[in-house]
Amino acid sequence: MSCERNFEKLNLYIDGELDECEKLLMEEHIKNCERCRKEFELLLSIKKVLGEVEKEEIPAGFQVKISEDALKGMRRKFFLTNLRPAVYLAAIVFIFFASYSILSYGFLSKKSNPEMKEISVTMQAPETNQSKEGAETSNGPDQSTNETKIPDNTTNTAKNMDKQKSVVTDKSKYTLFSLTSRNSDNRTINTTYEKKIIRNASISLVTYNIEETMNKILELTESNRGYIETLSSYTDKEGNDIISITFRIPAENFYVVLYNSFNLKGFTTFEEHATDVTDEYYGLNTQIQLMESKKGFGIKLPGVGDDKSKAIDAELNELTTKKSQLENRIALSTIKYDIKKVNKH
Amino acid sequence: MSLSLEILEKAKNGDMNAFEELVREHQSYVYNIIYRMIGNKEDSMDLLQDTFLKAFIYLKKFRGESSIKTWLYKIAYNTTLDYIKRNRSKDTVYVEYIRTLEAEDIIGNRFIKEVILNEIQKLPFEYRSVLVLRDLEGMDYKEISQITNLSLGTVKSRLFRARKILKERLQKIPDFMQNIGERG
Repeated sequence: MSCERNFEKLNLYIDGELDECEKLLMEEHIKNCERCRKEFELLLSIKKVLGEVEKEEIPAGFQVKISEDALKGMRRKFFLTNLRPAVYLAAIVFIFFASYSILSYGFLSKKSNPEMKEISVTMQAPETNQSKEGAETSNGPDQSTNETKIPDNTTNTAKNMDKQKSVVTDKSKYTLFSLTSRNSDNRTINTTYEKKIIRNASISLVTYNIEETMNKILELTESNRGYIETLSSYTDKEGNDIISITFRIPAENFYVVLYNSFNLKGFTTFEEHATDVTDEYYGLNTQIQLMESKKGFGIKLPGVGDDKSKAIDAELNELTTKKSQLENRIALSTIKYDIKKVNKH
Repeated sequence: MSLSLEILEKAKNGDMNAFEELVREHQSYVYNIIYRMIGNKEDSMDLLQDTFLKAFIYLKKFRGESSIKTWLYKIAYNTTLDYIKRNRSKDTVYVEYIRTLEAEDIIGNRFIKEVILNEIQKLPFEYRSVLVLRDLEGMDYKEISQITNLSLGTVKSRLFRARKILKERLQKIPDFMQNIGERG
């Protein structure tokens, strides 16, 4: 047996994890092999030192507290940790179905299947609903009652889901059209590029207790490493106080915060915007690379080119700043909450 | 029924006083293992708190398949692992051992211990954790495998790798290995 391979067994021997037979063989080997004996002595002395390390005492005054609040916090943490994989799973399922529907649509359109017409009709339907809804809102709230009601979350969620669906359907429609036009241009998408997307959302809430709602939002955003970017308050035409807070949330937590916001008491509407800046981002990257290579290969002649080199530096600086600003907007999504305070009647 | 088992049974039935008793009995070694794995006192206190909160929540599910000590170690290990995953950058932070040392400390044991502990803190978590459980806590391979949820083979190879890296790093410190050898 080579000594190198023996070193692994030497560890087991030191830890008393070898059976009797192997132990005897190892003892015999250590006696006769100087290299293994040295290694054994070295490992043994390190182990001995570590065995003598005193226990680290808990800092004085510290006490484990099992309070109701602490338990609540822990349960919330568990919930969020467990929710995250669910969100990822939902995203994967969504992508799968979206790709499937895009592919089937493309396939159908090539064959000019008459069913295609049906599909386009189904897609238009939510838009009509939405425009109807828009018309209703433009007419203003129901004038018969002056009382503003705090929306009931259970019925509201269903309503919001409908709204959400209509938005998604709209989006998928646009995606389909843009892809069709790309296909007709015979352009290909470089799949090696990671999509760069800036995500923003705005959420409206109505509440009797503004402090409670604010605390819930703060709890939710802080636990997802968000921070307040702006905070303002104003009074609307009806004399209601409105607090407007904008949070910056790490992009990976954007949907966790957004979906959890739907469960907040008084949640009324939300709007989500996604801006695809993939082309802009990689464009900037290419420009930076180009400028860097220009800078790197620049031949300096005495008295010539100093100004040119300065101009390259300035341009490079500008491009790098633009890129880092864009990266910042991609990495940190924005969620704006408009909280309207209403009085109980 | 022994006193500890009686306390455990009471705690499982939601008796807060019994659980507090359980915390008092086990908190010191749970803290020690967390501290040795992350090398940061403040975060160790937070993780100790989290470990016992989780223990309180899941105590009803504890069926006594392992000892309560191993079960608590397992929660502490998983809580620390989650923390390391969340704070990848913090994983490279290690305890500063160069502080005011007396002349006799430098030649003596204290310096040797501090240098070795510091080198352990620099190891990647997967190696550091098994080394802490084996050499500082004195657990056998089976217990380590239960706590870390790793196979026995993986525990063996990680320990071997951990000691190999540690030894190589210590050998780079001038005269250090000679000092250990003389001491041993």
